[in-house]
Amino acid sequence: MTAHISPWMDEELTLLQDSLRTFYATEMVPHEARWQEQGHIDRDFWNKAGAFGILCASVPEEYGGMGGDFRHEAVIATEQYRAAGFSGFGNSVHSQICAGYILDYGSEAQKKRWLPKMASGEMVCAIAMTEPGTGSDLQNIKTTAKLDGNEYVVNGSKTFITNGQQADLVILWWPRPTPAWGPKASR
Amino acid sequence: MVAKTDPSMGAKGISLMVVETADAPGFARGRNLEKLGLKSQDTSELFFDNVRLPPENLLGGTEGQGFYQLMKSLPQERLVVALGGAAAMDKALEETVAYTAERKAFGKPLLEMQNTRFKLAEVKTVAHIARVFLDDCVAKHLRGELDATTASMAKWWVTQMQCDTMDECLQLFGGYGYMSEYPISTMYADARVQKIYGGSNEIMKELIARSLTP
Repeated sequence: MTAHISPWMDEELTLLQDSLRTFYATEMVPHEARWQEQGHIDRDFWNKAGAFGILCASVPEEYGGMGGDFRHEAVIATEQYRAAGFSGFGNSVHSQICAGYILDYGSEAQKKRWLPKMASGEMVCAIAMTEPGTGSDLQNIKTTAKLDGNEYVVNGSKTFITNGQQADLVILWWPRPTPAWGPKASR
Repeated sequence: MVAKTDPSMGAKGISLMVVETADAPGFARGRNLEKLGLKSQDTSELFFDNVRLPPENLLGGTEGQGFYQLMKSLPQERLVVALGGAAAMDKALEETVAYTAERKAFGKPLLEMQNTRFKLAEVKTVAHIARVFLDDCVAKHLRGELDATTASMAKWWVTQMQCDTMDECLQLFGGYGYMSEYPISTMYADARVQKIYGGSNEIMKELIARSLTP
């Protein structure tokens, strides 16, 4: 079968694609059946993936990433699904969603604090939006974070959270508090 | 996922907070949820009971920015879901061609029978169209031009085609397609959630429909 080659591919990405095919075929696919039995991937697969350079690929090197762009993320995600057609490896959430939030919106201190550990696999990240009973209806989010002195006090519950059992970092959604008990937002 | 940009929602806003679970008294994980598919993915409930967080954990340091942050990031999230769907179709085609070339019925391989050939010709066409469409989406995204409408098209259409493809491919495996030892059964089950998460396909269509101005 002649494979379709994306016009945005180049030599470097083709090398990455080849190495990923070997990596997923040897380090992921043979373990999938056992991972399905146990209900999660092995925790150390995250560290292997980090060492191989496929976590946070589009994060700049100064924050521990591969310094790539979205093409690298696209190749990494595509080859994962092409390897097995499925997988419990939640790198899409970890790298392509969570790392993006921290990189795009985090302060310099936050980027330095979390991204290197996410890139190495030392920390697994999840994003917690959905709550029991909300689904697509985000206006009904009930989780609260109230200022008490200099700290926020968070109460609520989330569900259907990918990487939920293994997450060391959780990006949590909550409605902005009313001005009566929260500092003024910028807009 | 984001149903509507109700003005009251925009005013109220959403904030993003980062919780380090090892250092968050009051944080608890629920059970690992049992699902139809994606069984090697740990998917869970999370509970927050008076979890205290310093302001340093507020993403970006300003409250109320979450909704804006989300709207900016959603096209990429939807594109990633679609990329997985297109790749899964490639894999399903590969598996099904290999199986039907091997499996004989009524004296010849299934792959030599017209129904198999026409079904897989359709699958190959759809998988190719998905890839070409997504190449355009990736190119747009690299230029910072992937808009919500196009990303929504990619997400709903590719994941719908993924589910349809898994169903057609599984059928060609006959009874074996229903057995867990054949990857097509897992791929069939795993595909289903793609139409639900990352913004349900109905929400995608609603977002696209908003661009239908006379």
